Amino acid sequence: MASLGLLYNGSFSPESLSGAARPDHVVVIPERFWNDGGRGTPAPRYRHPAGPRQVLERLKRQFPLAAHGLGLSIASACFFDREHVRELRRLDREVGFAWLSEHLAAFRVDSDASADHHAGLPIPMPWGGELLDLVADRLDEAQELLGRPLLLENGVEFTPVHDAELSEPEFWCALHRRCGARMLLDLHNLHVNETNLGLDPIAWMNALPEAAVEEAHVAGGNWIDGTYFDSHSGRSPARVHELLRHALKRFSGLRAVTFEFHESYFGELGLAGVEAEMLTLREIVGQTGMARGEKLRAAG
Amino acid sequence: MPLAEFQRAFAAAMDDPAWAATRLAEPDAAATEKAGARLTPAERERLRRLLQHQGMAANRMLRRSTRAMPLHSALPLTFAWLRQEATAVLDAWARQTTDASVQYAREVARFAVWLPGFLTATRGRSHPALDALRFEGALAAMTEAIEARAADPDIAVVFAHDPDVILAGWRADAMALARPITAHLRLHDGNVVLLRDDAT
Repeated sequence: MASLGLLYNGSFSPESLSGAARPDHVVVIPERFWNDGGRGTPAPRYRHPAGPRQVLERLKRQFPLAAHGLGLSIASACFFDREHVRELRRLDREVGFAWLSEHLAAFRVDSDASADHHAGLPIPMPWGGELLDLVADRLDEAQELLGRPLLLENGVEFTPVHDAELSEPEFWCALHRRCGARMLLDLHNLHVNETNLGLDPIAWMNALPEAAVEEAHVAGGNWIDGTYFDSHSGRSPARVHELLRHALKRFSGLRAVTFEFHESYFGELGLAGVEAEMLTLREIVGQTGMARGEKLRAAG
Repeated sequence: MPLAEFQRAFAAAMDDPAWAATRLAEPDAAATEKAGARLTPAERERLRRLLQHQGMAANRMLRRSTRAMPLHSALPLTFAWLRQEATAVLDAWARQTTDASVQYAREVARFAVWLPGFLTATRGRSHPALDALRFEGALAAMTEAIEARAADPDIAVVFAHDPDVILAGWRADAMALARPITAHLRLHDGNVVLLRDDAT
């Protein structure tokens, strides 16, 4: 049965959840535990404030921890930030994360103004051979540096590239074939693309290799000016729960499900909202886990 | 590498929407000058179509939110005092500092240096948000001092308005004091307290 977890965001202590709502694992954002001066900063580029490290130690005593990176920008063609990967490795060696993940995204570029400029959003991805070569090489190198797999997460698109050589699922399949890439499937991101772009998330998932997906993320979003955003603003919508049921049946290697929400929405969501979402997810994971077990027994 | 040029050009277009809007009328030139890019004709067409896509409104909103979020999170009292002016302040910040950082701490530190110059130039020297900014900076310094186990940390903060008014949050009728006063963040029985020099 898949492990059920929660993304730590500092708004409350995951220890305060109990019973079936208590997470089996907690996912942390590694960039919360260091201050990065950015590429080109005179040494030391990274600083390690004591407070966040104490939080990490506390969480580590209570839960298996996984790391979900935000800052690598692995698809930035301008540069590959190996120092960032090494910093992640250093933290991983210290903490012993259960697994590591990042985003398949490009949002950092170099420019006249800065050696390390944040575009402020994921730059649209031209799914195709050039990007595939770049990401496959980077992923191989990152995993070599880390000494272990690095899961990559699918993102949200508001402006798809019209002349992409491949569809996004075709790209993921090619990446999996090329370098064994493992995936963090963000189901709410699929739902956002379904809502705004008409993507079929079931067909999208069915196009992926069965063994490629290891973790799923679920979250909530909100509407602003006619667009549905991946704002992590609350509980997952029912549609995301449906997608989770499908993913749990479809992907044999899916071993973890993680609920994410943004700390700024904790006031609206409340501990009761987090608890309700965890209980719903627990039920879905439990049902699907049993269904899979029954299927295996029948097959045996 | 062509992909790198495309990514730089897209980021440049996001940094300067006015430029992008102007250049959209000139499709052949739309992609090149801003990033100094060497785009292929296909990439130029790709960028042009992206900039015309209806989803660009969402992209711009996302970018704006990405840049504002770390500032709002780290400086809630400052933004409470900026109130209706916050939008104009954030627009100016985005226009004047295009070298954005992915690191929250670095963005906040740069904003804290930039904001006093902007407010002084546009609203005058004694904007209450500047008191809030100094207080929140002092609070961050106090947190660092506590984490470093500094002995008897004492962080001075200058207020142009009554500190009690500033800490209570926005009100329309906040009046500047005749003379600025200094207060000190200190530790008392394990709690952080603010002691005014003018307290009796």
